[in-house]
Amino acid sequence: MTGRRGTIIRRTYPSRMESVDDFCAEITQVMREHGLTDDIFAIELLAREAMTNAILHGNDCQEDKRVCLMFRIIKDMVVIRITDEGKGFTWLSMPCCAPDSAKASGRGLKIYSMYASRIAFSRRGNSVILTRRISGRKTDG
Amino acid sequence: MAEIEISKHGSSTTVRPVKNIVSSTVPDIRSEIKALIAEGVKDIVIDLEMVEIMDSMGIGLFISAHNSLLRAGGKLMVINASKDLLDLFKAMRLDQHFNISGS
Repeated sequence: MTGRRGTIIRRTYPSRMESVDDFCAEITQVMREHGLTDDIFAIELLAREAMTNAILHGNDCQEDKRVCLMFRIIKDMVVIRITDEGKGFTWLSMPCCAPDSAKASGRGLKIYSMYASRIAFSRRGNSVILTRRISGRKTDG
Repeated sequence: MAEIEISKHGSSTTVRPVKNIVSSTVPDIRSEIKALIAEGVKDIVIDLEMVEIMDSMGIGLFISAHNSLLRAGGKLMVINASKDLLDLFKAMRLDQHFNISGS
C-alpha cells in the first residue's frame, strides 16, 4: 500500500524458513520498483536475519506460531518490524563485542549493527525494529 | 532438490551453489558438502557466481566446512564473490581463515 505515509507492507507468515524467502522476494521486488537497488542487499540481509531469528529462537520453529512483519519505505528510510510469539529475550544484556570469527554461529546481531542505522526492540524482546537510512533517496512519503 | 553443482578439477572439487546460501537452503548444501568430505575430498572451491546473498546461517556453513576440511588436512577456497558478499566476508573476518576472491 502506498500513500501519504509511504509504502507499507504488512504480512503474517507461519514459522518455516520458506516464509523468509517469500517475504524477501516481495520486499526486494518493491525496492526495485522504488529504485532502491543499491540498498537491496542490506535490507534483504536485515530482513532475513530478523525473520530467521524470530522463527528459530522466538517461535522455536513451531509452524503454528506466526511471525508478523511490517515493511515500510518512507522518505529516506526503510523500516522493518518483525514480531514473533516467543517469550522474548533480555536484549539489554546482549553482547556488543564482535563475534568470534572461528565460530559457526552468533553473527545475527553483528549483521544488524553493520547494515541498520537504528536497532530497537520491544521491552519484552519479541519484536525488533530495524531502520536503514537510504542515501540519494527521492522523497515520496 | 540439488542446491549445488559439483565438478572436479585436478585435485580440487568445485561446489557451485545455484541458489542463495540462506536459512532455507543451508541444510541441503551442508549435507552435500559433508558427503564430499566423507568421501575423502580434501580441497573444496566454492564458486559463488550464482549467489546473490547469504545470511548468518550461510556464513556458519563456510566456517563449518573450513573447520572440517582443516581437520582432514585440506582447505577451503571461495571464488567469484560479488562485492556485497566480499564486504560481508571481510566484515565477519572470514578472510583471515580461508582464501576468498571476488568476481
